[in-house]
Amino acid sequence: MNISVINVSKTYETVKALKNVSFQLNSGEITALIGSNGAGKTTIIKCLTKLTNFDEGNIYIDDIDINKIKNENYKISYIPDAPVYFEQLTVLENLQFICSAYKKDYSEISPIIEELQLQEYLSFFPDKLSKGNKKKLMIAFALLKDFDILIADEPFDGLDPVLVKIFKNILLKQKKMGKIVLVSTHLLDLAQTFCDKYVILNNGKVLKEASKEKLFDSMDLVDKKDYTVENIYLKLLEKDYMRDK
Amino acid sequence: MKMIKLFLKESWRRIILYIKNYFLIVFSFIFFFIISASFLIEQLKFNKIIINPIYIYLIFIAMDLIIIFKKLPIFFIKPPIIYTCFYTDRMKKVIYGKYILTVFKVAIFSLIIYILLNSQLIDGNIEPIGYINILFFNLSAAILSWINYNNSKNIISIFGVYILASISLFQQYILKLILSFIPLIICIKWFLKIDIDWGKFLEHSSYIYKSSSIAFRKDTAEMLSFIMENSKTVEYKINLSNFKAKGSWVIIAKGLVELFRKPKIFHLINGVIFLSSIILHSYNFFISLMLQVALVTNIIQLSTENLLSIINKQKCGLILPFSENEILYKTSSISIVFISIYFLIFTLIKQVSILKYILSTIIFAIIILIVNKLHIKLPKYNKVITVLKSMIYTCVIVLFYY
Repeated sequence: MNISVINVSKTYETVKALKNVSFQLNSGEITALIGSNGAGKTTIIKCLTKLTNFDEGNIYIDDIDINKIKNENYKISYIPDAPVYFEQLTVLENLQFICSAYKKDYSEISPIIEELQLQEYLSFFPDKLSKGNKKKLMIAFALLKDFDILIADEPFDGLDPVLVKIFKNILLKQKKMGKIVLVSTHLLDLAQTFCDKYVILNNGKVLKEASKEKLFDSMDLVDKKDYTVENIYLKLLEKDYMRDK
Repeated sequence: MKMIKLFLKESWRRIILYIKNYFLIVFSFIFFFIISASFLIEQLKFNKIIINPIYIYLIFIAMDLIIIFKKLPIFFIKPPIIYTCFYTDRMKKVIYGKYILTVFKVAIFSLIIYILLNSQLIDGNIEPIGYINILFFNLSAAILSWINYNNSKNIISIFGVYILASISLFQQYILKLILSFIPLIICIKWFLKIDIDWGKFLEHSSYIYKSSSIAFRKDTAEMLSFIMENSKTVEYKINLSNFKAKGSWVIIAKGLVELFRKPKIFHLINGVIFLSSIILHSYNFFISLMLQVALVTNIIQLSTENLLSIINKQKCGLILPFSENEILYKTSSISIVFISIYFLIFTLIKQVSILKYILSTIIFAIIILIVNKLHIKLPKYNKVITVLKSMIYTCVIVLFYY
C-alpha cells in the first residue's frame, strides 16, 4: 500500500500554503514531515485526512483518488495537534464512543489506556486533563480506530519522556504491522531515532524527500558531527533562502 | 498614555465584537417584543401594584448580602493589565481608577433603585435624603464585599457592620443618614488597611476576562469547554455504556447522555414551560402559543447542538466512520421523537383529529431535517436560520393546533 501526493497546491485567500507538493508514503515505513512554522505541514496533513480540499493536484491511495473514497470507508486515523473530544462525555465515555462508532468491543479500551497510563483519569471530563493527558487521549482515540494509515500532527508535544518512549514504540509497532505512518514534528533529534524517511517542507514546497541514508549522502557534510537531521534541515533552509534571494 | 489608549482600543473591539455577535438576537428580540406587546397589553390587565417598601428593602438587603459574600471580586482588572503593570507604579493608578469607577457604578445603581422606589407603582414615602441613604448603604456593601474577598476582616465583624447599615434603611430623616454614615466610615477605615490577595484576584480576573471573552465571541463550543473545565467532577448515573449502542446508534446514545447531563435548571424551566403551555392553552391563546414555540425550539435545539458538535469535531480532526446523512438522521431523531410525544399529549387534550396530529408531526420532522441540513451546509448563516426556524414553528403550531 502507498500514498502518492502529486503536485498538490492549496491557497488560503491570498496565501499559497502548498505549491506543487509531491511525495510518497509507503506501508511499513515511518515518514517524518519536517518544516518550520507555516511551512505547510498541517495543510498537507489536512489534505491527506480530507479535512480540507486542495485546489490542484491529486492524492492517490493505491491508485485510487482519495476524493473518490467515501469518508466512512477511509481507513485513516489522525492525531490532531489541538485535542478534539466531546466535552460532555468523560474520558472513558469518549473512548467508548469511538469503540461503538467502529463497532468494536469495549474490552479493546483497557490495553490502550494501560499502555498510555490513563487509568486514573477515566471518570474525568477531558477539559480537566493536563495538556499531556489530552494528547494521550488523542493517541488512544487514534489507536482504537480501524486504520491502515496513521497520521500524527505534533504528537510529542506535551508528552513527558516516558510517554515519548511509549508513543515511539507504538509507532514502531504500527510500522511492523505494515501501516503507513506519517508524523509531523519539530523534534528533529527525536525523529532521527525512529523515522525511516523525511519530507522537508519550506514555504509550502518540498525541499527534500529522502530516506535517512539518502538524505545524508545527498549533502556535502564536512564533519561527521554534522550528520544529524537537524543540521541537514538547517542547511537546506539556508540554501532555499539563498535561492529565493 | 499610549498604554491607556491601547487598552481602551482593546475594550472598544470587545464591545464591537459583542454588538456584532448579538445584534441579530437583540434585533429579533426587539422585533418580537414590538409585535407581541400589542397582544400582551390586551391579554394582561395591569393593576396598580401597591407594595410596602419594607419588602423591597428586605429584598435589597438580601441582594447586597449575596454581593458581600460572593466568591468573585466586586470588580476585575484585565489580566494583561496586571501582568504588564504589576511591577510598575501604574498598578496603583489602575486600582484607584477601578475604585473610582466602582463608586460611580454604585452611585448610578443607587439612583436607579431610588427612582424605582419613588415610582408610581410603589406606595411609599421616600424622601430625597433616601438617595444618600441608599448610596451609603450600597457603598458600605461594596466595600465590605472587597474586604471579605481579601479576607481582611472576620465574617462576624463584616456581618455586624452590615446589620448596622441595614437598620438605617428603616429609619426616618436624620437618623437614617447617621446610621448609614457610621458603617460607611468603619468600612472606609478597614478599606484603607486592605492587603489585596493578588494571587486570588489575578486568578479570578482571568476567569472573568476569559468567560466574558468567550461570551462576547458567542463561541458556544468554547463556552461549554470552559464551563466543563471549571466545573466540579460529578458522578453520573446514566452513562454511555448503559445504552450498549453500536455503529451510528452511538450518536443517539451520546445525545441522550448529554440531555440527562444538562443542568437541573434546564429541565426545570422546560418542565414549567411544558405544564404552563398545557394549563394555559384554553385560557390564553397568545401566552400558550409563545410557550409552545419556546418548548419546541428548545427540543429541536437539542438535536442541532448534538449535530453541530459532531460535525465540528469532525472538521477539527476527530475522524468518525459516519456519513453526513447518518449524523443528520440520528441526531434529528431524538427531537422528532420528543416532538411527537409532546404533540400527542396536545392532540389528546385539545381533541385534535389524529390525522392532523400525524400530518403536523410529519411536517415537523421534515422541518427539523431541513433546518439541521441547513445548519450543516450554511454554517455562516446559523443565526439567521435560528430566527427563521422559530417563525416556521410558530406558523405550523398555529396551523394545526389553534
